[in-house]
Amino acid sequence: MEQNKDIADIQAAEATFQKKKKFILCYHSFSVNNFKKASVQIRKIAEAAGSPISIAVIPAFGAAPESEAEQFREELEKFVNEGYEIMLHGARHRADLSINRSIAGKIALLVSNNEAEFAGIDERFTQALLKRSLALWKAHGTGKPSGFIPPIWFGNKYLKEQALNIFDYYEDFNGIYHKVDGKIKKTPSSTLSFSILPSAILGVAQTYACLKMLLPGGVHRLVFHDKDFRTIGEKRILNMVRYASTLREKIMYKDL
Amino acid sequence: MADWLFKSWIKVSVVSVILFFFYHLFISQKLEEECIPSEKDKN
Repeated sequence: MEQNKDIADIQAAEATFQKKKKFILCYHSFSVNNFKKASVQIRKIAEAAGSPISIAVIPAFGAAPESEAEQFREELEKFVNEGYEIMLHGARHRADLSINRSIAGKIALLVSNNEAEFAGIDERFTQALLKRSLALWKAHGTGKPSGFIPPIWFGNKYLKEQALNIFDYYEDFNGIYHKVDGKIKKTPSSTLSFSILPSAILGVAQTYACLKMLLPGGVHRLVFHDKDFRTIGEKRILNMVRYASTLREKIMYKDL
Repeated sequence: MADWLFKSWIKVSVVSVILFFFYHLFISQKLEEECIPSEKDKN
């Protein structure tokens, strides 16, 4: 009996140690174009993780009919009421090719198939695009998003500061940023995403993601897109979420 | 010194690759399982 108690104590201590490691689980690019399919996928991921997750929302309506936009709004409201965390994910996500960009920005567009909306644009356009993104979001009338995630994580030298003047959190490839006493604090965090990787290396990328979860350090972001359900498959995604949840505590940006 | 460092780096790299390979086999199998138990199920 005494021995059983010791074993239980050791297991509890191990569990506490593992829970010191944290990760963020985020579904990216929830939009008016994919919300019906994406809602089901998000709920499945949340069920596997055991609690609501973070959702990066593209606020633009595009050419969607009003009825679709209304359903999209209702779905967003449901998520917010159920405790999901909303992050803003650009304005349209797709880059406006008529805007002037730096060399790095042009390379980012090339790599991202023109999806890096904020890559390499100047201060004025960055401000305008951020405001547009927020205005589009406000049109949905569903509270304030926790933070801003630039599409494909490609920003420019002005974006971090400007985004943190409006939102609580901002992130890039290497970390998550938020303001503490007026100073920007960085939380080291790797981006574990699969959507832009060629299918030949997806298996190794999944192993790398699981390994990052296993090893100490950082509050890594495990990110899934609609595309991953076709390339990786639902079973592997949900198992990856369950595996990560046994190694680390799942938190949201607002818990940082 | 440089030679020793280079050889050590090679050894560490080879061991890391081998370990990663075995972890890859383990994870590939785990992700293909019907349903690995979630945190909720464990509690």
